[in-house]
Amino acid sequence: MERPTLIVSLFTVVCAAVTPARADEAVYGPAAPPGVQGKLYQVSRRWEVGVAFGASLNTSLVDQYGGILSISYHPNEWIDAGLDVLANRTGVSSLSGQIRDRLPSRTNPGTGQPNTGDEIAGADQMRGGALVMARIAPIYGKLNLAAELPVHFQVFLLGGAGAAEFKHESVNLCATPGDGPCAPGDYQTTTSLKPVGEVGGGLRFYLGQHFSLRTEVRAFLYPATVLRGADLTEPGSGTSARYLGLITTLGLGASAFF
Amino acid sequence: MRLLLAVVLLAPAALAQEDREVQRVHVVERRPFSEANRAELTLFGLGQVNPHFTVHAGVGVELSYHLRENLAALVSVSYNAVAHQSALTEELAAKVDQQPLAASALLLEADALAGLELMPIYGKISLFDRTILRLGLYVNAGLGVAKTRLQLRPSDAVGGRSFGDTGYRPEAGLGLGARIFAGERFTFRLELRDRVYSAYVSKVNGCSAQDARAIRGSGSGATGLTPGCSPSSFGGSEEEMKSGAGSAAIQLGDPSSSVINNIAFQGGVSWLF
Repeated sequence: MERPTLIVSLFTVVCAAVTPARADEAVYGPAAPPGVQGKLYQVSRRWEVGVAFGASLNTSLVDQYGGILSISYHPNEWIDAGLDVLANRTGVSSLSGQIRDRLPSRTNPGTGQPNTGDEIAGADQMRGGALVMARIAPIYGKLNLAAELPVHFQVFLLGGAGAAEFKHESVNLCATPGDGPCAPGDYQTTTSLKPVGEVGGGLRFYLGQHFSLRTEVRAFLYPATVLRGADLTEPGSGTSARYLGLITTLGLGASAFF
Repeated sequence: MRLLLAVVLLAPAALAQEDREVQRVHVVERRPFSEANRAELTLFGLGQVNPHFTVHAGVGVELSYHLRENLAALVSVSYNAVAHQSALTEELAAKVDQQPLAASALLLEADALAGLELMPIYGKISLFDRTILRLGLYVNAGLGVAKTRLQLRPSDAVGGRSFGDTGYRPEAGLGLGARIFAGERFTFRLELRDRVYSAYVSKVNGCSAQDARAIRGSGSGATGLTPGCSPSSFGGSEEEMKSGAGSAAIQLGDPSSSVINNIAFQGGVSWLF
């Protein structure tokens, strides 16, 4: 009777000892294939509200700083769609000021006849707008900073369409008729609402289940116009020529998920 | 005795159950391959991302040797097939008779750099939760030489754009990028590289401002030129010589110096061997 009892006791102890290991397996499910792990931060069926502050990169004649408020819904892990509302503080750049300081005469000094000239392009100021936007985020990644700090990130591309208000302040065409130099601030200025498209891309760094930081580059495309063959002494003269305007911005921001 | 044995065996299991919530397990996964002691040849396409007065685009080749897993020595050369003044610069000249200082519009035709690369951060990315790729973030720095030139005629001039040689300048490069390993031998690279070079412009095609003025006035018949300065370097015809030298005379007339940051986005593929 002694020997069978010892075997049974040991069997019982071993069974009890391995129970936690089996319980772990039951908690975490079947083993994943090597190298494939689920996302730590998941965004499916969640709303995202984000704010990004940015500055224009390619507008030499204009200074533009502002922000974008984004609200979007993530139906799955890779796509979200929503609304972008943007507002910018804009003004002419110091380069524009230097150009204005040395503008050629509005009349021919020899004959007194009015000179004609073309307006310098690229002076549009995008002051505010709203766009319907969609993002696709096909790449999810993880980095280890200093070996102990895992950083989860996502790469996204975005596109959208909407309308924006543009202020156009000419760099070289005066607003007041005359043959003298333009007075400070006296340049042809118009404000208009134009259709706008946007494309861009960026990175999102997760800070937890509810917050992330993001950095992004956006290119805004819009129908722009410039005056050609304008009589420099007569505001409003010249013919309007169209071209595709481009304003590129670099933004840094944060998002919250609900 | 049996009771003691049972307690000894069960106690760790019970403790494990209790402490499971606070345990941290570091899983050390062996990397599938190593870059150490291997060379890497990269072919880049590049484009300037801060085009203010200039536009640059071209190709580059980089040869690097990975001394360690995260440290490499590199040599790179690049050639900008597109290196000319920006639309804004040409527009200013055409519409308001203004142009930037010669130093600000100095063009980078080609360069060579030698330096080191450090890749301290590794990670993984998944594409649509399917393909898993390894990723490395790196910084590099190097010193070298830049071949520069100056644009003399705009694109809408008769005969199109023309350029004058402004010689070699010392250059420094600073890069920040990502290397995505598509396999043991192929990688994709994305990099932002700042090429910094000095831009003191005193001669074009070996000619000073005084030489250029003489050629503008007399064409091929100009005399008293500095040794190394030839009117024919500005063009084949008398008209081309005079107009090219005239532009050089204007740009050299106001001596200028600057340090130019030419920031380019580079994308390329690498072969590890």
